[in-house]
Amino acid sequence: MKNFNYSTSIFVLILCIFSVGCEDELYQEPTTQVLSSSFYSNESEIETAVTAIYAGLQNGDLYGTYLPAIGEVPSDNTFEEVPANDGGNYSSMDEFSVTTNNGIIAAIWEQSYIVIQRANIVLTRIEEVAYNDDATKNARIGESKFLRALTYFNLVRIYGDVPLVTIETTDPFAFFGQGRTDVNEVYAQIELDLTEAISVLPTTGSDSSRVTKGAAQALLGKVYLTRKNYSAAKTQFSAMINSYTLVPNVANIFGVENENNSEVIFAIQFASGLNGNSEGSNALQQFTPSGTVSGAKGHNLPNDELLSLYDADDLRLEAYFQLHPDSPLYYTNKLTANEDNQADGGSDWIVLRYSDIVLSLAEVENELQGGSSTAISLLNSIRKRAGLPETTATTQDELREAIALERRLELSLEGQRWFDLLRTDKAIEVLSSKGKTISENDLLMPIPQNQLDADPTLEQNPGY
Amino acid sequence: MKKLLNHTRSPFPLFKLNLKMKLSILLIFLALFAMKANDGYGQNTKVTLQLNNVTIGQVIDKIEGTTELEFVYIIDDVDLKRKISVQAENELISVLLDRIFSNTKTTYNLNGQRVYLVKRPNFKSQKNPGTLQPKKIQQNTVSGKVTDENGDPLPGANIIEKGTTNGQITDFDGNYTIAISNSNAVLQVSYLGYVTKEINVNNQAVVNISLLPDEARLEEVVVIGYGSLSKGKVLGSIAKVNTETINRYASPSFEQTLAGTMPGINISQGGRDPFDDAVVNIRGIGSFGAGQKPLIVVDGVPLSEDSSLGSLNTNDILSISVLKDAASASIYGSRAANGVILISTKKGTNEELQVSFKAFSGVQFGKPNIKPVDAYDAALFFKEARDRGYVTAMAANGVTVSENDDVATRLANGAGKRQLRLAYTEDYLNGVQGLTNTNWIDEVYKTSFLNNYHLSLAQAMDKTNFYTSIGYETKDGVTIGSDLEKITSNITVSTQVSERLKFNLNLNTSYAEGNVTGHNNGHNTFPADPNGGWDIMYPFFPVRNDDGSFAIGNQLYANTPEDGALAENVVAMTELSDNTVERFRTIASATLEYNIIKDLTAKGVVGTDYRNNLSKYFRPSGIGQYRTLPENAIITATENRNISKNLLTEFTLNYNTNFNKHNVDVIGGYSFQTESFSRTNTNANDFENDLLRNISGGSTWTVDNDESTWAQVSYFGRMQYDFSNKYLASASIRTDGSSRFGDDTKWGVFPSASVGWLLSEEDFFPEDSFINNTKLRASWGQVGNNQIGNYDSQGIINVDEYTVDGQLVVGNSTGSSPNAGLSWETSTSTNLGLDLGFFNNKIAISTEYYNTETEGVLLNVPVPQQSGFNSSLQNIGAFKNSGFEIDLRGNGFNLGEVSIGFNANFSTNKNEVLELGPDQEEIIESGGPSFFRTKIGGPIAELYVYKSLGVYKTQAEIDSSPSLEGTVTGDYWIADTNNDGEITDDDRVGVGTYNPDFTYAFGANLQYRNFDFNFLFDGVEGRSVSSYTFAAIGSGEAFKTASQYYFDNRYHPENNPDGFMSQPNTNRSQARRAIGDRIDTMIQDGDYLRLRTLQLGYNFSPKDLKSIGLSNLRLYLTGNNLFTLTNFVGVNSEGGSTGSSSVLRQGYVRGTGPVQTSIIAGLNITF
Repeated sequence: MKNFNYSTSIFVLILCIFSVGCEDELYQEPTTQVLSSSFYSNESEIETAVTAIYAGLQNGDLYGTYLPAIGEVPSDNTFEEVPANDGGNYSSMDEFSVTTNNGIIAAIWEQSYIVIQRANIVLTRIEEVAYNDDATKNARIGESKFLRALTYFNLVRIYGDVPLVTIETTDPFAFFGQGRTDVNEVYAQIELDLTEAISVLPTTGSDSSRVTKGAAQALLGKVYLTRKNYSAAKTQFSAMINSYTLVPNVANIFGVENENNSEVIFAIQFASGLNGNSEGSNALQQFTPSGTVSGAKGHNLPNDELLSLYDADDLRLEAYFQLHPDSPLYYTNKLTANEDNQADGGSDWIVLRYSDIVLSLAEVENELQGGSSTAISLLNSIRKRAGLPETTATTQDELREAIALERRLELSLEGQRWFDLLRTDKAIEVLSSKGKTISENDLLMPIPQNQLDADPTLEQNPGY
Repeated sequence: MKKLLNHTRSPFPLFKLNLKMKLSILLIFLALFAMKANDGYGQNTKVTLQLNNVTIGQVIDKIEGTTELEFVYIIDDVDLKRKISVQAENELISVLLDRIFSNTKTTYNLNGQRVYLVKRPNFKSQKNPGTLQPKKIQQNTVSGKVTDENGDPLPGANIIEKGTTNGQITDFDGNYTIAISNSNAVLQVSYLGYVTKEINVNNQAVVNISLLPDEARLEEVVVIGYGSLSKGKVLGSIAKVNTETINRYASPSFEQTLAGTMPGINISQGGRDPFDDAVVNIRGIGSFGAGQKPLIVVDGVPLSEDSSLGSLNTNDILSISVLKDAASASIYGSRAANGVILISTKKGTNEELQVSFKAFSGVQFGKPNIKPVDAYDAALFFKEARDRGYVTAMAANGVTVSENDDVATRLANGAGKRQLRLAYTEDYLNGVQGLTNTNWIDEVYKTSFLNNYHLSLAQAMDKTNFYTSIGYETKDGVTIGSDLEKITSNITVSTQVSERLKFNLNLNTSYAEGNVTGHNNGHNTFPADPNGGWDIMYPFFPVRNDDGSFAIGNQLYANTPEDGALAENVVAMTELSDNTVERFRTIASATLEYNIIKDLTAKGVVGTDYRNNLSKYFRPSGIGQYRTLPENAIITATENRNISKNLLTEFTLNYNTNFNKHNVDVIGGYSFQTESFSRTNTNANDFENDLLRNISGGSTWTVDNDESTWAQVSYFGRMQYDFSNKYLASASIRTDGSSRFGDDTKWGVFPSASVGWLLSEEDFFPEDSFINNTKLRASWGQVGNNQIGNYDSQGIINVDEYTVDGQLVVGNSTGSSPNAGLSWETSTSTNLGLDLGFFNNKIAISTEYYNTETEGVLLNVPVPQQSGFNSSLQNIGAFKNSGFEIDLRGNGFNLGEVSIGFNANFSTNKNEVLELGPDQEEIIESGGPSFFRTKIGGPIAELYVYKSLGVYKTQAEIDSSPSLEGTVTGDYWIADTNNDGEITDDDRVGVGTYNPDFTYAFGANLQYRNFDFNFLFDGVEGRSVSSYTFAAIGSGEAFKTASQYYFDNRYHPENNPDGFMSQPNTNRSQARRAIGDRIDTMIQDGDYLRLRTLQLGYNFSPKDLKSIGLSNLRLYLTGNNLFTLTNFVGVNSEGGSTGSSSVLRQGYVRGTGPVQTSIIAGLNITF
């Protein structure tokens, strides 16, 4: 038995050594990923969190492809060359037969809230983090508020009432049953964010990709314009309008080599050949006539009517549109192709452009005072650059029409037309006159089906 | 086994088993199953002995010590204490034994190296051994020979005249002579380990009898978790497959061998190439949130959870046990919820060196069970669809046009490209004969060849035994561009280091390399995978040019003007691209076993499972891609390296004793296992040329890598107890700590208990009735499922980069929310079983009922996206699985010289969802041509679609019934199932699940002289399937080609007015399109009845082989999946569990290969 005790002791001893040593192993931390519990604790980490907001907007689900598409496809500017492509996700927007399972509608919703959450995280955390320079910290707060406001602005224009969230999520389950927030309340938050952003943002960003005070003023002006609050819009536009200038030659506004020029107020940045070709945009590939280049799908092509509206002398016709040698169809020239990889286009997507603001201010002036000479001169500045004579419009109505047309021509395929039609309550009138079957219900896109499935308390828009 | 002999009421030796006997029997069995070497050994052994005044026991020890002979006996039958003196000088053993045992109650039989000491029949006084006392009435004498299944004599077999005490035993040549009372007497022939046989004498003077081994009944040992158990004592539900079944024949894959053999275990072959593993599913869906794979344990080493049996060589496997119920599996705790598969590899058991060589070769073939139309029908189909598309699209814009409009008119009307006719099909439409008419299925699938060789050496020496083997196989896939070459080796060495210390080493290594079909490298260069690519190829285009080179880009160029499917020649893409895989794996374990005191053994194990996988992909220039002309295509290369290292350390202490009639076996243990995983994926781009066909040829690269580790610490214990082999009880407990789970829930406890009653052992149980074995079993247990990501309980920072002035800037955001409460799924299961044996166990029936409730299902609950997250992993769901299983086996039946055995099994499984997320009634997933609904109170992943009432043929029909916006004639007429006057999502109805109502199998084995023959059918009933391919070429969208089935059943007012499938139409506006696909017409019956195996073998008689130096030679022919009865039209209805990653979409068949038929010829040789 002595033997037995001896052996057992050794056995038990080994057991103990291993047990104690090994239980520490139950606490494993990832080695190729960072844990969120210890993150957002210093300036450089917050800086990367701010960058992530921009990066979220760069996604193909937002400014990469889908936002440029949704701003034009339902409008009277474009047509679908192959309606069946991509499961009819595009053509159903063109034909106002969108279903709740539309992939584009679902993607925009999901990615928008990812961006909003990233902004919420920064805004929740940044207060506790010391920056070397308070101005930088304030700028980041302003940028985050601007980006959150921009995203909500897109959401309300696409979906109407949407759930409003302005805090960092700690428990995703807390959002069940939240329901949709009235658009007025969402607009109030947008205006608040932008107003606060304006108060802290610098006039020039620390780099060309950053949101500036001017961008916030321009966006707030556009928000007010959308809300038909013309005097407030005028204040915002007037405050920033002298900080930017029109590029003299329309051919030099777009193109990779002209990025971040004096006319660009805010643009989402894209670049070719970076990071495994993941920093470019495949919008142009999608918006090129089918079969002409690798992966081209023939979505969102300018229709004959739009092209015919350009005067023969209009310099923009050649600057803004191009033809592929293998196709009789025109497509946008505001994006530059990457010949090596069509899906990795390097053109920035311009969200706010000076000529948009010029025309918006013209519209505001005309609304405030019909036939305003300021409005006419603003409109003429755009026409002049395009190589066109001065406008003949004089009355408020004439001028309203002339400005709307000029917007359509100047900002064609920039993701503006559909929202302009909505904003001016012209969508049904205009599209019906062009043979489209459209009803009041088609002015808002449906809440994605997967969201209704996840939270049945969400209410669908009428007609879906 | 005791029963076996008891029932004969034999006056002859009654084998009461003691431990030594049991071991002996086991040895006999192992020896019998193995090939017999040196048959004449025993008789010819010569012995030299000089012993004075020693006991018989000492004599036996001495003979065993100096020769290779082994004595097998029952203590009562031999007077071991009798003292004798022996002098022998090179004397034949038989002569010596005659001398030793003359005039005693003991006689002997020699068989091979074994000496059976048995009670002398009717020993009363000094009579000659082997003869019988003449009876008073004696009219007839019968004689003959008793042999085993191979024709070898069985010495010591009992022959009894039924209903009397009259008996005899065979001599060492298996011969017997028995006097019987009448010429119509029935002889009962029994032999240890063989099925007792009854034979009518029928006036014959010579009756030769061949016995079949009783594989199922005897003291068969079943491997259980951390130990083994005799089959009679098993209380849970454990399916066992033994070597005999596995290795008698060969088949293309391990899983194919097992399919249909065990109730409750579904094995489906849904893969595409030889590297794909079959899906093994034990008792239904084990989880719908975490993984569904069973735990595989090889020689005590639990493998990584994504493991398969694929790397093991079937020939090296000794036995497989499948632990189905929670009580049996719960000793594996948190990893056992999907069942446990225990594999034991072979050991050296034969004292003689045993050299065995096995080889087989065969062919395999198979094609999808769906046909595309030929070029002429295709031309008509595209014309119909494009014309209809044009007319309906224009009508939607308020313009009335004619189908006969030319291209210019169509364009002027604003037609889209897919509303133009395919210009190049004009000749086909005009019926010009002899045009290109490619059947792409015939180009993509081929007859492939298999070759397999296996050489093993094994021996059990004095203190050391070993088994070594090397295997080599080549296997081509039935799909072009897929093949495999594999080398395996297995080494098992076991040695008794000292009296108390035993060392054991297992080393199992495999290396495989080959080509795969596109999917394994994660490349989405549609249609790079020929399995998923043939349906987009139009029959108008050739595979090769007249000069034999690949026809590149034909379909791309021709389809550009009208936007037909812009796809590259899939055969060229496959053959010209490189897509290779290399896999290396070692599973090894070393064990030290120390016998501390009698009955108490300590055991330490270290084990490892090391895997190294390398995948490479290269696409050269000059081949187009989807929507990309050859001249625009980019060269690309990928290399993916994966390494996983799994380490196990384990200690157990085992106490096994019996006193009076109590048998107790207690085990306690500690186990630590950890696995680290690393992956590096490199993509190379910007190649200058094709000269370097790998990542080194690129000039820019992107690399992503990933590492992770999990660790598990476990304590476990189990006690097994039985009283008098009648009343059995067992209880176990395991506690697991896992790094995967939240800080608050690191540890889980998994208990189990089971009881059993061997009713037939009771005194009151009627003997000799037709029922002779009855066992009742009940078990309860809890098991867990921990198959989630390694860091899912922790919040992870995601990386999302941005670019500023052309420079990359890092962006970071929260990618997942932490959940410190994340824990395992817990399944609580009850299992009831009843085992019955009839007619001396010639028929054995085993039935089971189980009910398993799983709680805390790890569910990625979709959350409102305003949270910034899409879903959140929570322990939130609950569901239950219940089912009934029956297994029927019969053997030992005879029809003339043919002996017959049969087997059949039947199992049901039903699941029901009990709980989902907060306020969540159902989860709806979309997948291909169906939605899938998982709803509380319903089954998991119910196919959920609109109901079709046929197609609308007139506008009046559309106007008079609820329909979707934009519906035109030729569209599906969708039923307003809820009668609310409109067609909405609420009109969808459940139309069955992939999980069948029941599965069944049946087969038989026959033996006639040296021939053996068997077959096995299996089938499923009540399965519904949603097939991607069926819908893709059956929707009438006319993007891909059409299936013949669709073409024959499509509606067209003139060409096919009676069709019930929607009219071909390229104008599929989204509102109608979504529904056109997701309709019950697209859901199919997945039932099948398949001839799994058909096998014929021939064993040459050992005696004939001796002259050429062989001890065994066997030839056989095997056919697998020779035919299938099914209504399913598609690639392979078995692919429903692999086509999609989520169980919530189970039944969506996509990305699968066809059912493969194989015909194999093989031989087994033993030297």
